[in-house]
Amino acid sequence: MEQEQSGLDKILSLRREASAEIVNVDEPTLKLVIFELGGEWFAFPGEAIREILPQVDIFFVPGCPASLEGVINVRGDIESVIGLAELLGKPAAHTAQPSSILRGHGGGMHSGIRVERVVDVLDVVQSAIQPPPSTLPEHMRHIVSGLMRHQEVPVVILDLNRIFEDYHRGLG
Amino acid sequence: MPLPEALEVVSFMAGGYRCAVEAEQVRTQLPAQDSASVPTAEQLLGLPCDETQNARRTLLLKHPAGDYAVTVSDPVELRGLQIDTIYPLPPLIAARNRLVGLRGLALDAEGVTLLVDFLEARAGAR
Repeated sequence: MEQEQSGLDKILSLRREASAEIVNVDEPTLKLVIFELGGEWFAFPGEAIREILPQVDIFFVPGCPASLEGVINVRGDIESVIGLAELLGKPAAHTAQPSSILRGHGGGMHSGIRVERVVDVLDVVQSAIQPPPSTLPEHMRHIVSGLMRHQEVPVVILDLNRIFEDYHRGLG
Repeated sequence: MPLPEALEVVSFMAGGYRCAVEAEQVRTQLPAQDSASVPTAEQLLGLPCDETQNARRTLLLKHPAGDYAVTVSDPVELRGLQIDTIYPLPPLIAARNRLVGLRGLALDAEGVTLLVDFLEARAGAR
């Protein structure tokens, strides 16, 4: 005759199942920094982002394209700041609006990237990331590395190496 | 040889922006010469025309082939820029900036100073 499970047995059994589930999803993950621009969500791989800075003063440098907003002073060093909205074909957020600056590196360069708001920083299992759809606009195809959903919102994952390299070559 | 603590520069305004040139490039400062043959700093560097009412002055700059003049806006000052406020251009700015002769930036409590080289600007303007 099968013995009825005690309360402790049930708890231990549930805990074992929970552990088993954790093992099941123990697959490669990717850290992402998710941010908002023009009402849409985008992300950079966490390895490309050194730091997230709150609103800091941006010093204008004449002679640059409008998307190159100036320089910031980061603990005694300076970095350029690009406005990502314009590169992605979104309306440029005014520099006076609250925003965050991501200190990114890619393509052998580093620069600040101004975004409207950082939504989240999280680890995502790689199977949750879909390849870029063929319906992407032409100007996005080269710089999008994947697509996922977070909190039911689509998130476009961007390749910072390509963004910086293209920008350095005069594109964007 | 250890670096000096400060770089002597002649600072001036051009196109509404604070600029500076190494003092060793400057022979002297003259009253503004009202002559179309004297190029303005704005023309050489590619800055917008100066719309301020600041007085104009002429800098006489050293050149192996003979000194040459450039007009700039007041205030024109000889000053020392602390070395730790001087930076090379960040790579994206170096790649995308259209000013001619922009060599670096100084960033201090007064904001940004454009560090320019008129020899390079003059060569680029030809």
